[in-house]
Amino acid sequence: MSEDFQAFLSNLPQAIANGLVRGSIYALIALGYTMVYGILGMINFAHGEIYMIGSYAGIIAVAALSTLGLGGMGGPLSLAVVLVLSMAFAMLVSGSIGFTVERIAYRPIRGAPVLSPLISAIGMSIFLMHFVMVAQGKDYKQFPIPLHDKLVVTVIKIGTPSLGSWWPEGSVELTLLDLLTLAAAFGLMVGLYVFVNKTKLGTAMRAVAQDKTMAGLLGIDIDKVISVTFVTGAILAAAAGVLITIRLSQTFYTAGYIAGMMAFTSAVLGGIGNIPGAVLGGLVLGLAEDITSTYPGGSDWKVVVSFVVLLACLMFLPRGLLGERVGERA
Amino acid sequence: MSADRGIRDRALHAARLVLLVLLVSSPLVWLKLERAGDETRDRLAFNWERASGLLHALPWILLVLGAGAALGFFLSRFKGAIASAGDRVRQEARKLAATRPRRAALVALPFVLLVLFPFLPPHLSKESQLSVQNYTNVVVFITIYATLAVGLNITVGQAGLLVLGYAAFYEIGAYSYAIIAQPERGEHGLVLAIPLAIVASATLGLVVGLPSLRLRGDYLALVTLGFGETLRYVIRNLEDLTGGEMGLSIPDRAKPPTLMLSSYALDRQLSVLVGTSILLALCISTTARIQRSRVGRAWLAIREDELAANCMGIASRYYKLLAFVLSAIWAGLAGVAYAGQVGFVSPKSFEFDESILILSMVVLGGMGRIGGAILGAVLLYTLKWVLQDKFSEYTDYKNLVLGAIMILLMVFRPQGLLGSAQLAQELKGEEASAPPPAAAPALSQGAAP
Amino acid sequence: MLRFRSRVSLASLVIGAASAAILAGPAGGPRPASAGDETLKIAVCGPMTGGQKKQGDDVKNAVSLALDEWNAKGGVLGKKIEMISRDDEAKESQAVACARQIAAAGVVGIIGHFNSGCTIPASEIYKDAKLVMITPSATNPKVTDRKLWNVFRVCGRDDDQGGVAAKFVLEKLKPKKVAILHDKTQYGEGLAKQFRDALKAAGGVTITRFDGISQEETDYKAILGAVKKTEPDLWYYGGMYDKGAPITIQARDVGLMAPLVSGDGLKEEEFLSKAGSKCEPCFVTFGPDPNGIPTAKAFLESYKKKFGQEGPYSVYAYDAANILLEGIKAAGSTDGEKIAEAIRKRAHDGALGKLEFDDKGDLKTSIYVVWEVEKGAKGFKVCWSPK
Repeated sequence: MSEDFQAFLSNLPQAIANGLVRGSIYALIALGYTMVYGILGMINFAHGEIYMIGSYAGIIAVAALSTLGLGGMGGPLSLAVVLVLSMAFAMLVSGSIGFTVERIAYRPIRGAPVLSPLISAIGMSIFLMHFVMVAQGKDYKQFPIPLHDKLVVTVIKIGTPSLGSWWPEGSVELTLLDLLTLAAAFGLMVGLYVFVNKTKLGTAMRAVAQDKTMAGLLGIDIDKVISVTFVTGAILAAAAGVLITIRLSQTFYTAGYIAGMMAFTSAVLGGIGNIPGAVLGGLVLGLAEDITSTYPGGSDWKVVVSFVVLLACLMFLPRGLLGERVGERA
Repeated sequence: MSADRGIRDRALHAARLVLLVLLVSSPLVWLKLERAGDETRDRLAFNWERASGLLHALPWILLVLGAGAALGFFLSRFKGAIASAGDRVRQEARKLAATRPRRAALVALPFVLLVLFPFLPPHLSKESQLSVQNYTNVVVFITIYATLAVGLNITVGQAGLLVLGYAAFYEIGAYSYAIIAQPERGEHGLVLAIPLAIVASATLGLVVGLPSLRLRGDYLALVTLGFGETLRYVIRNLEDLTGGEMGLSIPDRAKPPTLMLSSYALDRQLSVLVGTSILLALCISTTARIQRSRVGRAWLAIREDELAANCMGIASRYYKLLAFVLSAIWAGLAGVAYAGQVGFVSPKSFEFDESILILSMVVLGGMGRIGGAILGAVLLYTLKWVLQDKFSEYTDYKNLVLGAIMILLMVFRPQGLLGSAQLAQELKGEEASAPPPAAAPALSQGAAP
Repeated sequence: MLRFRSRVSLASLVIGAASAAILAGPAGGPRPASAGDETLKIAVCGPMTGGQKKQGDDVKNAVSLALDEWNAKGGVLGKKIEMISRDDEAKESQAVACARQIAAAGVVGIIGHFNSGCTIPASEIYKDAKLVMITPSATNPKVTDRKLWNVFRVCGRDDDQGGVAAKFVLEKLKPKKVAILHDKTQYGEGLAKQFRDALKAAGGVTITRFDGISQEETDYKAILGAVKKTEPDLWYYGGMYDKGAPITIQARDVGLMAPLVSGDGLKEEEFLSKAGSKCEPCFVTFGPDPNGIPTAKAFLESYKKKFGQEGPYSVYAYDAANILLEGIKAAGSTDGEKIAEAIRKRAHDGALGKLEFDDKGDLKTSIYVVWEVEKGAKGFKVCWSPK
């Protein structure tokens, strides 16, 4: 067995752990795509940009707190409070932009076939990306390194045993941030599950997704439900934006493109319109990416591998992993 | 509803939306992150420069808003007069283009003039020669993009298959040429490049088309997008063949031959222009013929209702594959023309935004209409070029403008500039009167299996 | 229907208003003087949008500074000089369109393009239009190996730079195992390959990984973790600072503490301020210290006063502009071939030192030395030079 492969196997447990963290972030973004698709039957291409705006808002909030001398480094507020506040601010900004985007670009053409809203969404994506570029400048925005360092400390380290001569021993390290990311992502997903299934608004949402006309006749305010869907998706994306900004220590105005693309792929992989499917798709894609790039020379091929995974899945399950039978669509 | 009430309502609604946008965008617009020399973190500050900039620009903003409002008022007041004037123009045009040859001649005339112009002036000063060459470059790219738009229109417009990774076919055509033009492969020129590009792109069309037969709508869109991205990465990674990110340059010997026609015959662009014009003419004429034939009607039937089409005995799989392959071939040939014009090929030029640009051309002009695709290509490329050349100080804003135009167009004219009134009716049809074309799938019941 | 229409028209108004608000920024700024017959035009072309935008601006600013100085002295050939700029988006198709626009705009010479991929096709258009171009930053050997009469570069070549880095590493750091990463750009990958080839030629060093990280990627932990497991004695990064800073931070996060060696793309204040002391120990290859060259001091001072911190290619662009203008002056003509001949013949006193061109348009002497990041990421200082 080649040395490269041995090294790959010993790295595998860590790659799986990283993949789960990355996948849970993809899943958070994918939820926004899948919810909007479930209700409007359209791809909200601008969703990646909403996520990117969330990451900017998170950095702005942290900078605001440290400029006011309140938190971050030396202020009275603890790190946890700073994180919660910045995430709340990011959710506020992204949520309100998600709301506005729907009002301006999608509501006037609701009911048109797939292509018109899609082009409008692509236009909105280009617009938002360059709006942020012009408004906030073209350089990378950095999450304060001292805060980043406090969060990126290894808290769990497990050695994985060797399984005979062919499987070398390895280890898994998880940082505080990894755990926080997993906790926040799954907390939000459980929250979403409860919201969609146990509240009145969530029931209305599912009703609108099933039959808009009928839901309207039953007195459900469709406009309101759609707005709520967009805002909810944007809030989840903003959380993902803040988490990943801390993880990567920086954000950039084009960050929404690749993340949006991967998240969208996750949503389709899981079966678009299906909430658990989006989560599953995100995890699968995250794992595929991290495992591929662990192999020597593999990082060149990981986008290829991701799409091959998607293709293989769609060949056999044309509606995605958890996709249900849905009406034929043109 | 009285006109005054209507206007007041609209004004109120507009004011509410403007307020919403101003409010929502304010954190990103007014706050800036800045870093003093030796600090390790950004601090937040109010963006005073933007405030003063805004103050300076206030008269212009008011002017633009006022002009827009006046235009809107004018349009709504004189709607009837404008419509009747339009009808009169249409009648005149119909009289002028009474027969088919005349119609064809009328449509072709501007393009012939456009293409012939670089050949006309016999002797020019160096400056004017350079301007003509600059202009020629624009015309060459317009013809390339028009070919691409007409080609994409086959799948997206005529057969109703949403392809989001069209640049992949364009790319494989360009690379076919560049690869065989390398010195270590014998510096082959167009003679070999054209058939190779046709074969390569048609094969790729089949490869993308086959798995896509089972997929519909957005799944199909994503798979084509995935193919496009995958191909770009594969090309980037196969360094020995494609030069990787470094790209390949086409040596002089393999470039398109020059024409010895006029005083500036050495300008290779002219021969490329002849080639791309022939390509575009071929593309338009064959596509138009196919559209009017059995095949075109089959595509239309599939686009409107695949199930019904199948029931009527149309082999939808065959026709869908045919659409993919034909569409791919035109893009492959356009790719050869691109490589001939630029003389250098790298993955950077075939990114996702290229696919989006071509798709926007199709949609802008009016889906399903060949004339629309061409109009879209002319308008969008010209817009891009003018923004680059004449507004180079405002280069940051060009994509902002492009995005805004796409949204506005979809909101105001979802059927595209040349879209038919019937299509418009369909698109705008009230939800109650026409069934929504895509029945949304039910949101899943939750995490339980 | 009416409600629908009204909503729609108002939506457009709103978007218009938002764009107008943003457009307000530059509207307040100064506009360049209008072109007359009595001016000579020089073009700057590079990426002004996208990830490398700052570098495009660095070049533009430095050239405008050089032009201001010449204009203050009365211009060249009795005419004032004016600058036009074009954004090639780092794409070849755009670069070609820009080159045609520039040629048609009646310029006397070009500073640019920034990337090698754009420089190569554009240079052929300039050649046909009889225009001289001087690139401040395209380091790919192919740029000058085609031996066009009109192409010069004031920066070094990748093979040169990678070789200097390899020599330094073998002499000073003496590693057994080396991991090499690059950003999959023409620049970064070219540099990384030259470094790898130079190490291989010298022998005795194992290259544990040679991996590309694509431009779109932002999360490098997986690959960096795998690199760390190979326990390299040092790692090389071929690429620009924009990706370089987060890669360095994440590398240290996963525990890859070996020294970082890189090229001129990381010699950038912004890299230090973003990566902070996490980047240490870090060595980069770059031109000689401009602060040690008296002629450079004045440039750096006036650049800082006008535009703030200079970028890695500002000095190159400044020299490129001066070389072009001196060439025009020496040729006494705006004819491209004469200017090229004059540039080739002269030895130039630049902010980078004495610069002379060989037949291909490359600099005759290698300019690369190795810089080390000072303790606490305070700045860079020269720590080694070849010979």
